[in-house]
Amino acid sequence: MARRCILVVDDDEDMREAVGLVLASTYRVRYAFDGVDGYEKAKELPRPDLIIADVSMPRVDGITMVRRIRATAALCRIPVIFLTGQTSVASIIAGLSVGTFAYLSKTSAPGVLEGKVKRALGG
Amino acid sequence: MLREFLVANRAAILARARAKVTARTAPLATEEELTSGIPVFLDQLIEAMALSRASSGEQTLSASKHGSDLLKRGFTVAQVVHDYGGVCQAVTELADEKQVGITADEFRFFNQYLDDSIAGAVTEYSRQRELAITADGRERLGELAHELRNSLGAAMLAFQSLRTGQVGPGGSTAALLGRSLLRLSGVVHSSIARVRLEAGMKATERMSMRELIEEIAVTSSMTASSRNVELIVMPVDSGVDIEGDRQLLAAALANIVQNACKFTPTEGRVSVKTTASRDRVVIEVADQCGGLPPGKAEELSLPVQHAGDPVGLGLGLSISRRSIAASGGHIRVRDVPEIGCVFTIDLPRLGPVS
Repeated sequence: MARRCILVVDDDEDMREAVGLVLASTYRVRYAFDGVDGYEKAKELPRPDLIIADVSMPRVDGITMVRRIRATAALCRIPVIFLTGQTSVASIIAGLSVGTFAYLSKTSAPGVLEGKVKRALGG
Repeated sequence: MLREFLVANRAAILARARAKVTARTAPLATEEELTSGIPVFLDQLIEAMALSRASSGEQTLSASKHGSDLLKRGFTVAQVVHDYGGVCQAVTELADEKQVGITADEFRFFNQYLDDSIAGAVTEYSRQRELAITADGRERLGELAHELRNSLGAAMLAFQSLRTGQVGPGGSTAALLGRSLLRLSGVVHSSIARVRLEAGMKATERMSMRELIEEIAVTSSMTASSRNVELIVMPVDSGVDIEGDRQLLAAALANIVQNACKFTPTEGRVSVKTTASRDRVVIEVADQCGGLPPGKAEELSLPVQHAGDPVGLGLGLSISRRSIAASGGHIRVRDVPEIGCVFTIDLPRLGPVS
């Protein structure tokens, strides 16, 4: 069975690499560096089974990117996990209001991220 | 009587007030002041006088509102005060010429309105300035928190992965952890440098350029090795001294060299070369970032960089520039198309110890 594909969208290179290090042994991981790139990469085949995105990014932020994804028929069912430094209540509400599976802090333990990823993928 | 005089002579008063404001040498009059500020003030004065039944509180509110409106349009306090003064002089001069009797009550009202306007403008200016300072502080704290969270997040994920024992300490996970810790250290040093700069905490001392460059070589070699970049630091002759704040200069130079390592691809090279003439010391940091996009070299040479720089170079460079300027030096950026860029730090050289 082909490995499930996860798209990691973050403008911070080290964060992208860190998330990749945690997930790459189990999943196929692709990367995008902002909301514009994330949306374009999400449209590419094979489509990602899950998107992990930062909220605060240049050009297009994570919430706007997810709104675009939700408005695109071919992509609207892809689960999204926000992995972000924005942890105010307002940011969490804004993040969850666009239909995200989970909203995690960047300082979460890898086990928490792995658990959420597994559940988001129905595992 | 005064109100009727103002209405009947509105055009003449405006022309006279504009002439006074135009003749001002400092601050120079702007088109906005002449076409908008002065007429608005005069019209509001006329309106306030019509509302003779208005309470003094309402009059104060109207005057203050106008003062604050002018500040929101970008006028300085000096411009606002001078504009009011210009209108006041124009009214009294014209009334004198036309031998219009202004009663004591009217004159008192006129002066009161002027005082309220100036007081309102200054109060609003202070309020807006406070808000701007607070907003600026919040923005900086936000940037700092963002940078810290990214570095800390990457470090924690890498550390936890190492703890599981599934990855070795010599691999990419450990390299990422080392890089993230260096980034955290850089953020802390930049923040301290910024605080020292803004607080005017300069500790000027004579220092050996050789020692300073050796220090930079040691601290930057960690960044270079974590990114698998070759760092070549040319030795500096002894007897080349400069004067400045050692901490600020070291933080600035380290920031430039470490950024050069960061943007140079794996197995690339960064070189640091120091040359000295009779009265200058020039440090050239050359990287292999591939060259800058058109216009970027000029943008990086500007005194203030945008916080939104996606790679964070602008913000760090801005602090570096200020740190070097605090020691009487400056930074230039030169693009070497297709290869990389060269940061040149030019500092005044101290004469020999007598």
